[in-house]
Amino acid sequence: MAWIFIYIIGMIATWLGPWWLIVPVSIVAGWFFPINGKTAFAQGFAGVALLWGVTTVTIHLKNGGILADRVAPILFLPEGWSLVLVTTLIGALLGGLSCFSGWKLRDTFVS
Amino acid sequence: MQRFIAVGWLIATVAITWVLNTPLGSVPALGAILNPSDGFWRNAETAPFNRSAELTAGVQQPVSIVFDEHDIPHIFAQSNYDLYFAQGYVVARDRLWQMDFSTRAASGRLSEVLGDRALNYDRYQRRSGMTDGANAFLEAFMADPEYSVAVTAYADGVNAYIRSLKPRDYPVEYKLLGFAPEEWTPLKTAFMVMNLNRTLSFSSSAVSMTHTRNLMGDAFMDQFFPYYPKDTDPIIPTGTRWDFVPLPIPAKPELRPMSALPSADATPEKDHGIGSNNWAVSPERSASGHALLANDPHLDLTLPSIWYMIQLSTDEFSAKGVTFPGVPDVVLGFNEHSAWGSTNVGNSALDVFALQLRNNGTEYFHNGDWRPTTMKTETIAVKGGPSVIDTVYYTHHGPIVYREGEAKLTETFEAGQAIRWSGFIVKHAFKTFYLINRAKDYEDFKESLTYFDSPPQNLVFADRDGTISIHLAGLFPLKWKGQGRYVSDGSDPAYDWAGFIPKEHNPYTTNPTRGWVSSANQHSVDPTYPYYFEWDYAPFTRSTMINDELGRMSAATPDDMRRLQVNTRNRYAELVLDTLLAKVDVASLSAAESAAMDTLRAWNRLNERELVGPTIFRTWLTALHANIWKDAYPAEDKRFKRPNEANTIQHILDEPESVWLNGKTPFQDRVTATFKQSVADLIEKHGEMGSDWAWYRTLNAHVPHLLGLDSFGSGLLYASGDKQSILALNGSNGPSWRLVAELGDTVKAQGIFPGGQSGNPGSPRYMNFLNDWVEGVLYPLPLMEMSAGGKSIITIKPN
Repeated sequence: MAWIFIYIIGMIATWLGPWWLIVPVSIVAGWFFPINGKTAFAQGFAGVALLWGVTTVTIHLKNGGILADRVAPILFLPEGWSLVLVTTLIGALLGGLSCFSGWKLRDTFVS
Repeated sequence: MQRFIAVGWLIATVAITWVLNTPLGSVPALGAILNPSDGFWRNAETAPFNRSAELTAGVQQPVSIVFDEHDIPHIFAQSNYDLYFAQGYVVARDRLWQMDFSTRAASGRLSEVLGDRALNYDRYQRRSGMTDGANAFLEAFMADPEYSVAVTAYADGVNAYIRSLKPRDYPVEYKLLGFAPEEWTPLKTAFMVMNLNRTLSFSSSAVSMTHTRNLMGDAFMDQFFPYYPKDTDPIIPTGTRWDFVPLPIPAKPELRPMSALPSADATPEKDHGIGSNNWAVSPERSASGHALLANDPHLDLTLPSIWYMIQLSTDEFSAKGVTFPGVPDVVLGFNEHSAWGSTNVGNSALDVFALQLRNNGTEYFHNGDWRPTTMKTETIAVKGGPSVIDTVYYTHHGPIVYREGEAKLTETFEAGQAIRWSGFIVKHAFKTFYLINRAKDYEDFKESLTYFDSPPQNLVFADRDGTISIHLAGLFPLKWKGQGRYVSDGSDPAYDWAGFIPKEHNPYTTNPTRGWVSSANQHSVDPTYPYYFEWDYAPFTRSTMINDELGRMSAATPDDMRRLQVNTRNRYAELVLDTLLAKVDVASLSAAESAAMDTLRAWNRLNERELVGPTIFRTWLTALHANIWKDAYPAEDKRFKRPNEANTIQHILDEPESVWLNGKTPFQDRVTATFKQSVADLIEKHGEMGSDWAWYRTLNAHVPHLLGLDSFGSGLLYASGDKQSILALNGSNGPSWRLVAELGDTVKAQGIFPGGQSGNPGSPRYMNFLNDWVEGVLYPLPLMEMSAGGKSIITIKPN
């Protein structure tokens, strides 16, 4: 369930505030939902991957790839789709790490 | 232990997040840039074009901004304040980063956002006196009751837009470079104008001319760097009478031995990069019986484009055309009564003075006395490092760019030289365009020119009454013949500027008998003009072809004007190619060389993109020109100025037996050898002769992004032209705006610029005009009536 929480609350939080709110949201999700460290990471990974992946794919398609194709070479990437992938991966890893940290804190301090 | 590990994971998470959000040195903040909620993705335009919006801001009465299908805003306001507020707002909406970055560049503040790699650039801007110049300019125009309202309202509009932004809305370049927009001020407008003047006129060949004179002597200089070259067709037609009594010309001093002047390391030759065309045709020579006007100013092309199309309307006037982001008014365009355009006056607005300095540059020698320099300190903030304090030394001539022992800031000037530039003393300048926007007839236009106290421009004008005119507007120093041609002796008062030619004596021509006026940066006047008018103008090529073509049109149409703007005749080839081909030793040619020769013979002398002829000719001419002068000049020494191609070609035609052409090698051998060498070079570069030799590849037309980011630029364009063609396109220099206007009962105008209205690389409108511009298409630009309405309207209501 953590991934749904991250997807929905993360979307609202980063709409209203800065992008890094996705980190505290994932930590909180990790504190409340997962049953072990592996699922914590997986759920955090999936939650942010979904959020960032859906958003970037939507933008990329609606924009006809104009911007991502122009930004990609600046970041030494071949073209826009690789930027979708890299963005999603960075978000997903950060989400997984955050969610795992949340789970680890509760696992250590509460149970 | 478990607790430490748990907290450790948390700390690691926070630390990684921090790193992703913070730029470290030249490594950008990847998280901040990439995340889809605040990062660059937010700059991708995802909805179909629709600007409709309603907002409240600091206007006095409601303002409507109607956008047409080209995304051109048409502003309808009820007061000048509201008009310029809306202009500032809407231009910032599309071009905020460009305006901000350009003023930072002009004022020497790039290090603040780019770090110390921009330090020498910033130092050069400040050492050139930009800060002092902009502040004096600001003070002068803020004292003007009308213009100060325009500039202040413009700033208020820009700031209203900036305040409406959240960081996630910032243009993408801010995100990539990691800085934020700052408040707009009238001083920034002053810097924009200073910088435009700098682009147009802040250059000099005095240093290389001096070295060349030392090497070659006066006779050579007069022959190959003539004051008035043969075949010149001046802007003001030959034979025009000067109806004024000239001021006395200052006395020419005894020229000192040039060895008294400091010598230098390398100063490269400068090519004529800034050129432009404008012309107007009288009603008698047009098919419709209405005057026609055309203008295409050539500049270094950039994305976002230097121009932005706009219409400004109040009850008082309606003007449309292009504006310069950061500056109020339409700069080039038309209104309900007239149309106007501009080209750069080709001559120098800047003199270089060699100084004798002592006591660490605190004193300089002038007129027999040691005079103190004025020192002004400047603080350059540097991103990621301590601020740098720099001191600018001013003499009564102007600032000293750099002194002996300091970093060489430019190739144009040498250590210990001061510069005097008419751009330093501008007071009104763009008030002229404020008035031209409102001009109802030729008299109003002439009146507006009295405010034009910038480095000079050739302003062309045509109106519905059928008047056509071209005026040389701006400041012309009053000089003795040759003053400023070489480095001036800064200690001798005879080299000081003795004032300016009175504005009423500036050359102009109105309704000349030939039935058209034109300019292409060539010589302004013939030698009968009573004042010395410099020498270093654009070669005769474009101007003679324009006059030749216009002279053949007895019933000109707007489409003739459009086609003339994209005319690709190669004047050099027309003049000299047959002569050169006849001199090639045909028997010695290989099969490949013969094939190239046949191609050249069959070539139609047009610089068309798909042709191979222009590629061979350009390569050959460059090689031949270098070959001719390599014997006379020390090899590879770039201090010296070689005679340009135009004067060299003239010499080939006039004196084929000359010692300069035949010195160590007979001319015929040079011609054959350079032809063979050119074919070999082309084969090495592009393979056997074929489609890879097509001209557009050599022309290399492209429009780069302001930061030089390749992927934000246009890439190679499939374009025709040449720097000496009327379609003066070369690399990233070319026609930055094209206007054709027919001055009938209503003014019918068409125009285009190479780019798009939006400055956002994530917008489909970032360079959507580019293909049409390459193909020579112009967009109809009707003056819109308020009642016409449109799909997309921004309404600004008072708070």
